[in-house]
Amino acid sequence: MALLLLRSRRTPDVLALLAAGLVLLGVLTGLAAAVALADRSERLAEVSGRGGPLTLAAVDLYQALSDADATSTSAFLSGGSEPRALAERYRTDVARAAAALSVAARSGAGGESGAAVAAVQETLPVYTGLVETARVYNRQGLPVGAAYLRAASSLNRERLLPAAQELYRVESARLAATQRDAGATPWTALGLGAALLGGLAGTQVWVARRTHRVLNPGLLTASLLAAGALGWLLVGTLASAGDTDAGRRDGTAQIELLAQARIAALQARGDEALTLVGRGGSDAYEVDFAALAGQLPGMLERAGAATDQPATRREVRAAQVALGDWLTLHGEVRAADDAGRYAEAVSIAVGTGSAQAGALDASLGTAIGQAADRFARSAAEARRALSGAGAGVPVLLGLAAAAALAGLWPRLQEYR
Amino acid sequence: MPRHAVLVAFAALLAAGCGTVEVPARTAPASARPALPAGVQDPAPVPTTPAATPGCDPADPETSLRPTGPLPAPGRMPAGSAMDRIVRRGVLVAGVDQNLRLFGSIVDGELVGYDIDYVRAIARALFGDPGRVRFRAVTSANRIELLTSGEIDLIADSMSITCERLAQVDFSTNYFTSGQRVMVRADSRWTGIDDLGGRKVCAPAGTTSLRYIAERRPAPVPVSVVDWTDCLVLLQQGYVEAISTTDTILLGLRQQDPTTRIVGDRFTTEPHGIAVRKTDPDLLRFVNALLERMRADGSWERIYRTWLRELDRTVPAPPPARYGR
Repeated sequence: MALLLLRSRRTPDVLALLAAGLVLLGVLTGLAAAVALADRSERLAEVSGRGGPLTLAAVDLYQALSDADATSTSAFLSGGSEPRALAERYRTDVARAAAALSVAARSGAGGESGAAVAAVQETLPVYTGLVETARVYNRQGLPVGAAYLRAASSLNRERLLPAAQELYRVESARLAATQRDAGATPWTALGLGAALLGGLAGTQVWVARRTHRVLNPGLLTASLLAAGALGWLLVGTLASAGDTDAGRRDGTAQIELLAQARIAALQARGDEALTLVGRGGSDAYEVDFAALAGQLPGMLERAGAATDQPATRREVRAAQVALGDWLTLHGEVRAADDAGRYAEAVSIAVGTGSAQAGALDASLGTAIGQAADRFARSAAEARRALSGAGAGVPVLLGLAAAAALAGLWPRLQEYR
Repeated sequence: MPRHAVLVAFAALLAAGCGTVEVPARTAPASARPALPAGVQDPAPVPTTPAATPGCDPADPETSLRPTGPLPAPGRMPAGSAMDRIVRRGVLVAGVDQNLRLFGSIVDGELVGYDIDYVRAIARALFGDPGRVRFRAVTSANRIELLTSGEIDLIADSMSITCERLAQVDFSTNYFTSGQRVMVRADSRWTGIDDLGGRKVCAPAGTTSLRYIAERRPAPVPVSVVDWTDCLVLLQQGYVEAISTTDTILLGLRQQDPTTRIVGDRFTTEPHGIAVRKTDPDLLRFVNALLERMRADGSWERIYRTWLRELDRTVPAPPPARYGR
């Protein structure tokens, strides 16, 4: 029909058709932009409101559980009455794990995540019960206390940590997908917008030829409004996508690498203590320690290489130094214990060894905190980059459609 | 212009804006599984009964090397002997269990027990000083390897003398006799090993106790762990019905939980020896000479009374030394 009308070459028909086409295109572009921006802002809200906090809660849960394992076993080395600082730290770990769990449960994590949260919720009280039983026996100097501690530790490692890891795996993958979607280019709106601009330009040329008036103020205004709206859409989404990308690169991706290293270090620390607590009970923990100690330098290397943030690099370097010192001291601990100098082995492990392992943990903890801050900042900036665009871009496009109609209306009237 | 196509496009754009609604999955309540110590094997692989060792009667394996004369004075060991080597080193390295109450465990920060007293007596005989000892913690599973590889000088770890072990190490004369019994929860109805057919019974991997459990008829289900105390954890959690080993070890476990009791008669008779490398016969003769003296001067009785008096109403006479070679 449109072609028929154009072929008819009757000026008023063509003008009417162009006016209707431009208005329709303007409205369509406005709608597409509105939908794309609403979708994006919903995803960004999901990133900063649910996915981000949930992923961080999963990391925190995993870390708190690992730390509880390392701390409760270290506390055992000091004999019947454990040092107050370690008892305090263990309590804090359990409280942090519980807090992270409630965040995860509140976020309505369904499916695989829900099962993982439920598994931790069911097992955590059993775990703390075993640790308390171990403590009570240890205070009475009964060897069965160490057996309860080993049972607690294997419950932690075989059920709690895998569930926390699963929660993290599922939620971080979902967060990454949402981050990707939130950064996608709004092709439909941009394509329609390009068609609109092309239509406006073509109409101007056609009108200029037919009416011998060089400029049509309405069409010109419409073009400027449409170009402004599309510029806003393009710049806003690109900036927002950049922020989201930075949030992933400098935030969540780094948290993943750093947390992996921190958790491996905590597990190795637990292994060192359990070997000593076991008093020759088994070399399984030392085998595990050796495996983790072999992976840790590479993990720190990767975490350091993945960041260009000077503050985080500093922390990773500090962690590398502490790791080296700790591994050397661990060698001394093992040499002393294997030679039957148990008291000396324990004194190195709870003294300088514990200080280096603690420094390693603290550096990685600080680095994770920095990455979490960067993530939160980027998520907020990604939302700010789009603030106003959701309403502004469609309104501008609506105005462009109105201006185009207003520009063509007097020309149509001339043929009445 | 096809109007319906535009409507379809609108609808599609609108639909794209709506996220999918996720319904939280309902999880069934998990059954409360008991927490197991690491290294539990259920059912435990049971070592097969070893082929008969020529010259060793499984029912009566205890014969050791006769001492050659009285003990040398402390610090003055015959040149070139294993004792001389230890004295020159300045310390005796002894493999002991450090979690086995009454035999070797930490009480008030000190490693004490029946086996520890014997190791100290050996150190006193070697150096004139019971403190010249390095205690190396061992388990039932790794102790023989540590001895044969030369990392320790001897094992004093409540070790029964068996033909199978005699093929790898030498044993001193019997330093106490014990027998396998059963420990159960006080409120259970089990009265001995014969009630426990088809039930789970615990002992550490690498012990003779595990094999004796599996060889009983009706057969219990053997469950193995790393450490004796792991068995107590399993018993307290209700995972196993009983722990079965020599009553001397059971006594130490029972002391840690008054809600258990030791039931039934001894169904094995097991002589115990201090293990020494086969290449150190002079050390073996030295230990046997010391044991001879301890039987005679009342030390044997004193140590037995200190640690194991709850076992018998009266302290038994020391088991006589038997020498075959």
